[in-house]
Amino acid sequence: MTVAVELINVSKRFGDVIANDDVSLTIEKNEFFSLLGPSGCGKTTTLRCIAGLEEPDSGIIKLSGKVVTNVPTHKRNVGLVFQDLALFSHMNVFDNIAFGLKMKKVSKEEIEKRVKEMLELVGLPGLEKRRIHQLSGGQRQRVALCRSLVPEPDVLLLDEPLGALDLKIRRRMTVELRRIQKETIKQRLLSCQIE
Amino acid sequence: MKIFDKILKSFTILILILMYLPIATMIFFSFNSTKSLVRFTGFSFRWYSALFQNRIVWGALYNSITVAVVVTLVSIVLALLMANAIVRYEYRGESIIDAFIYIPIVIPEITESLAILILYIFLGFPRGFWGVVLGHATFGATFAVVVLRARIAGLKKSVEEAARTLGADEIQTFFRITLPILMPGVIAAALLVFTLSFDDFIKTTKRIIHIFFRNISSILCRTLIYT
Amino acid sequence: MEDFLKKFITKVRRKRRLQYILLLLPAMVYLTIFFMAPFVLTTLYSLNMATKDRQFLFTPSFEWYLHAFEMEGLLTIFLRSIGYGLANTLLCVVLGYPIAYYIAVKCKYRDVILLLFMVPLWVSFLLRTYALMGVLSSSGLLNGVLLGLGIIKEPLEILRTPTAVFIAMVYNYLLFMILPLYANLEKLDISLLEAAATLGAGKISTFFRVILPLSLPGIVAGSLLVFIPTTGEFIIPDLVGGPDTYMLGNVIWLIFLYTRNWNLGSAISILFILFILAIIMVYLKYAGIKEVVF
Repeated sequence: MTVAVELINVSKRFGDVIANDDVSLTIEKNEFFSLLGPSGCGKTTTLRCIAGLEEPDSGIIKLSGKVVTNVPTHKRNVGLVFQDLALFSHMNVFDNIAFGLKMKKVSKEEIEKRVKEMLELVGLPGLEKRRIHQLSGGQRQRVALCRSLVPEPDVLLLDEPLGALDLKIRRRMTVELRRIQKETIKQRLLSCQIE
Repeated sequence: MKIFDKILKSFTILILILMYLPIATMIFFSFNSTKSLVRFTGFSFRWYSALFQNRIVWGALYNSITVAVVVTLVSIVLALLMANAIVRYEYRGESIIDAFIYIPIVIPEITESLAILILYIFLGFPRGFWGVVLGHATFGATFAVVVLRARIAGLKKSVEEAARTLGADEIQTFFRITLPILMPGVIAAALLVFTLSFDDFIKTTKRIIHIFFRNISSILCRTLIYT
Repeated sequence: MEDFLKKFITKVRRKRRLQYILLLLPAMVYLTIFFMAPFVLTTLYSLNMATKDRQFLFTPSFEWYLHAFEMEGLLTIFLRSIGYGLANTLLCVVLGYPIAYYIAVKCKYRDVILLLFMVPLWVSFLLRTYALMGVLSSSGLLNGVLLGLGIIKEPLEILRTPTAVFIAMVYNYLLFMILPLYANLEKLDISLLEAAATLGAGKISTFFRVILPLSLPGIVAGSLLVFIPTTGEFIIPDLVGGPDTYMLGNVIWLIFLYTRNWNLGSAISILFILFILAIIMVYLKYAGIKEVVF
């Protein structure tokens, strides 16, 4: 199976506004794919359809070759890093990142191990107990990334991941993302949108 | 405008003191050795020992607490369901639903209680514990909805969606993410409903024949008897 | 069975409307039974319904409403209730606004002071009113202080007068005015006041042109929260007032429970509710508020 994500004639409208008009695209496994376009052109809608947060009005979405129209979001094994990060403010860093693993009923020891590894990978070792509001923008970004990466999704979606950061950090994060993709053990596909 | 601020501050404190005065005097006189509310004749625990020995009082207290607890639970559950529905979905008939929510608050308590009493007698519904609970919960649920509504509206949808992408189904999302975030509002609503139910006596007197409620009995023990 | 459940869940997930209905259903059913039904019944009774041994005879007629209108003294009591309600509301606004303003804008220990104001609320309505009775009685604290300071020569007979009723009402309901006002004022953007100052508005102008209009929703919410329960009050007139101060609530109570005339009682209740709803609608329109949010 070399095709990870496939969209076939997907259309979605919200009232009078047509967000996606007959979109078809194919993304290969291990591909780092970027959706580019001006704001309001429907990129987020596409990502949300792939994640299952929106249901297309017409068209088919396939993940790893299987049609997923009736599969709810929590069963799709798709990671999504939101534009506003959507971190769980009532949990600390560790619990945020561990959440996906908890849902998969991974053992406690395994969770600890993987969370620690991931924090090291993104350059935030030792911050497990911090609360979200104590983190800087760049740190939160990375925590959000960890959170989505750790459960090893088949597809990782990043919605304007670098939008909230200033230029210097943005450049650094782009390099980081590539590095992380190369270094993560399981081969994964990144679909990302950059303004 | 420092003077102005000082005036405001003094005014507030004055009113605050005035509010506590009656209560303070009551506490003061509850230690009185005679029945009077106005002349202090001597220090005594007489009334408190009578209070503690009075079985009716304990029964009434127990009733009030159990009723209030059950009412709070029922109200919060109903309110959560209702508030979520109203805030997250937009559909026609919103004004009718709004009316349902606001009118119970707007109607004076006696009319509402009497109306429910009529219903109970009409249906032959027993007027004991559950009669009170269900009646209170009507009021309580609507109050709770009002409190919760604003908080739910302020909830970011993306946080719940994030939980879903991480593998949590709807129920897990609700209990692990939504509810904890709403908790301050839920607690505020719960406190409000509990207080309203605990303090209420209009509904209780109308529908209970054999259950007293704490308030009457407390007064009994402080100084005078009120029937 | 499991299959059916699975299919059902999938269906619910996809249809938002279904979700909405399912969420709303329990509460709606509950409210219909415990809120709509009682009122429908009350209306029916007011229109001359009667029950005898679980059978009801319904001969609709407005006779009870006419009866109510012809009742001696009812109009006086009606007007008195509304009057007391309005007066009380006004008092609460006048007294409560400065306090709410202080707490919201100038106070450093907001939470503490708010809590202090709320504690009496937990002491229970009856107890508070009772305590007030003690204070206001002719040998009570108030008179004691006034006599002691030589301000008056003889004790004031406050109990059993409208004054006592007013004092008790303000005492019990002031908080309901302060809370919504506070919530509203707290959200006030200080920079608006600063902007007004830079545009040349003095303190008084700023107040009347900026702060007051912006705090209007709070005033409206507070007024409603105070006016409605007050007009329906019957405990306070009973305890601290006398037969001269009896209000609508007392009348309804008496009719229902002593004369057991449900038809008449219902008719008066309905009239009362309609009247209040009318006042509220007029008030809301006048204040230009379309939605009341606490």
